[in-house]
Amino acid sequence: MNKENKIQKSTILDLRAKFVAGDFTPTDAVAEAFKTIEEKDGSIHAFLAVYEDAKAEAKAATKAYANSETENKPLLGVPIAIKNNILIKGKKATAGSKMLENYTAVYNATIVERLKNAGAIIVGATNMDEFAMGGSTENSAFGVTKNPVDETRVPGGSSGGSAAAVAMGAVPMAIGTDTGGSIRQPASYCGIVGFKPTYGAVPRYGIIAMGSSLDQAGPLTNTVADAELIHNVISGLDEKDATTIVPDTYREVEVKKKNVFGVPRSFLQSGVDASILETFENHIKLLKEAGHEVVDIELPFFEKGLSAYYIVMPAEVSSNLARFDGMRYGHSADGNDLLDVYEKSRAEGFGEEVKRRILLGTYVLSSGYYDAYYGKAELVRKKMRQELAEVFAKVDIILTPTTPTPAFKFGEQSDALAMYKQDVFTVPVNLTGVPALTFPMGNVAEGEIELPVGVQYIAPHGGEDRLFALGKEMYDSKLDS
Amino acid sequence: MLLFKWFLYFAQRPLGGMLTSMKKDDIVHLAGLARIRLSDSELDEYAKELPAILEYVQDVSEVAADEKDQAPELTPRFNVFRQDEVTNKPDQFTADILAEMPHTEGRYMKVKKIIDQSS
Repeated sequence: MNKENKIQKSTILDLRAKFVAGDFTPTDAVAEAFKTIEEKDGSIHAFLAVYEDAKAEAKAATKAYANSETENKPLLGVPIAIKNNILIKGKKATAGSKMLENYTAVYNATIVERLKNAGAIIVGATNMDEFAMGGSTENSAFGVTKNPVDETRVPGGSSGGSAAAVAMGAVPMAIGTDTGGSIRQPASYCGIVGFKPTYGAVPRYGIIAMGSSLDQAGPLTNTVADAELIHNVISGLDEKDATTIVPDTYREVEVKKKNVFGVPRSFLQSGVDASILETFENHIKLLKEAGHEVVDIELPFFEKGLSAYYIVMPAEVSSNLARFDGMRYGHSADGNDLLDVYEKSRAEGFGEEVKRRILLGTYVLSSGYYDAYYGKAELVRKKMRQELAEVFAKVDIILTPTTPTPAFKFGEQSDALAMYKQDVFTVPVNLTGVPALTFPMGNVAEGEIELPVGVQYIAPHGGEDRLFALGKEMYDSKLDS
Repeated sequence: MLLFKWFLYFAQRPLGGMLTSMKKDDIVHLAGLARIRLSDSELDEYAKELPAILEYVQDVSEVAADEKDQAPELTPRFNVFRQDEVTNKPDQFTADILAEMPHTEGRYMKVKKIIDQSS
């Protein structure tokens, strides 16, 4: 038998303690990450690329621990995987698309810079739905990723590779991006922790844009404490991203011992599996036992969130992806004239879902339809923010299941619209820009197999600390060490 | 005369069709606006799917603005400025950026002829 995988379910703090003690070094950790990838990734396919230079970095980190040079490096020697829509200088940044199959990043994303400065060792790039569009990683141009919990099922998406990389025990942490649930839904499907920060908290310089009023990057980890640690490393003002915020942008969100949780009861009627509702009710019981109060709330505009999202997001997609024209970088087809080059390059470079969303976005932004779709969707968004302000005057956290179903089987959601409905509880968070945390609330039985399902805590803008405190109380403290 | 013929062609033609019934022609036109050449099977597929999605998202149309919506946004908006100064060294990124271009000539990007001199 092989000796036990020290990274599986491991926390960053555990690893650091081992590194400091010297009985397990960053060199060992990176070697173990590679070994796990070699053993399992042939079948899981969480990684699009593995970086051999991580070994040299691990050696340097091991030396730094030996010399006690660990100051200001909270992630020193810890292996990490990065979603492949985030730029790492000198490495391919494909965004899961044939369009960028051969694109090499010319610079580091700000968050990559910050992770490296904190000592993290990037061992590889993870698979994703093309340009982060999808909820199953089935839309990757480079093949699907399988869910390590049950390989007949999807890992979720679009950050499915990042979730699977952590869940299969290759790395203790990974970075994903979340435009409508792309961190939280795969985290829920794979039984790990996922965090979507307040809009503007984490710089997006060097992250391939999808929906610019929605996109945020965040961690996928085994514990809430680890998610907090990574968030603290990657967040903060960046002069290269004008949308980043300073800590006092929003009114202080107090961290309290006893909190009021609001449950949007009528919203929960939106096609949620009975088994998930049962697990959810059980979580409510645990909250009450822990001394928290749980009340019913109404969020009528949140129920229109999915509609607003599938207008706003494709609109932004169609604008953001206009830059891929076969001229300056990316896939370029041969053509008779300029228009021919544009149309053929985009036809060959983009996959089915990306084309679908560009067409939708082009439609809702076109003359004559703009007010009826985009204008109305932005109005709904405004009303959602008002609704949220009113609700957060009464409750501290909004509580929902993360997804309406557990991980589904490959090909099961073949209809685009059915797939979109998986996002019902996650998209309102992006539309309003608030932070949200997901962690496993239990398992549901699907035939022979037990599948993990996540619970979602939503806090007011800037409420990161409240989420981390509650997540540590309701999840981390209950894990067997 | 400088003329972007294709641009005028698309700009002049209005979008046709009702929400729930999109014809193949409407998708062809939409794909033209989006600069994507679609195959016949893609046209058929999207002609079926897009109306279904548009119908689903239509419930936003039931929402009407009221006086509360005149209130300022809760999310603060402000301009962000930085010093107008050069932050990179000459040629720092040139070779790397040129290497990504499909067609180059020396330090230039090469594209198809844009100006049509015949019309």
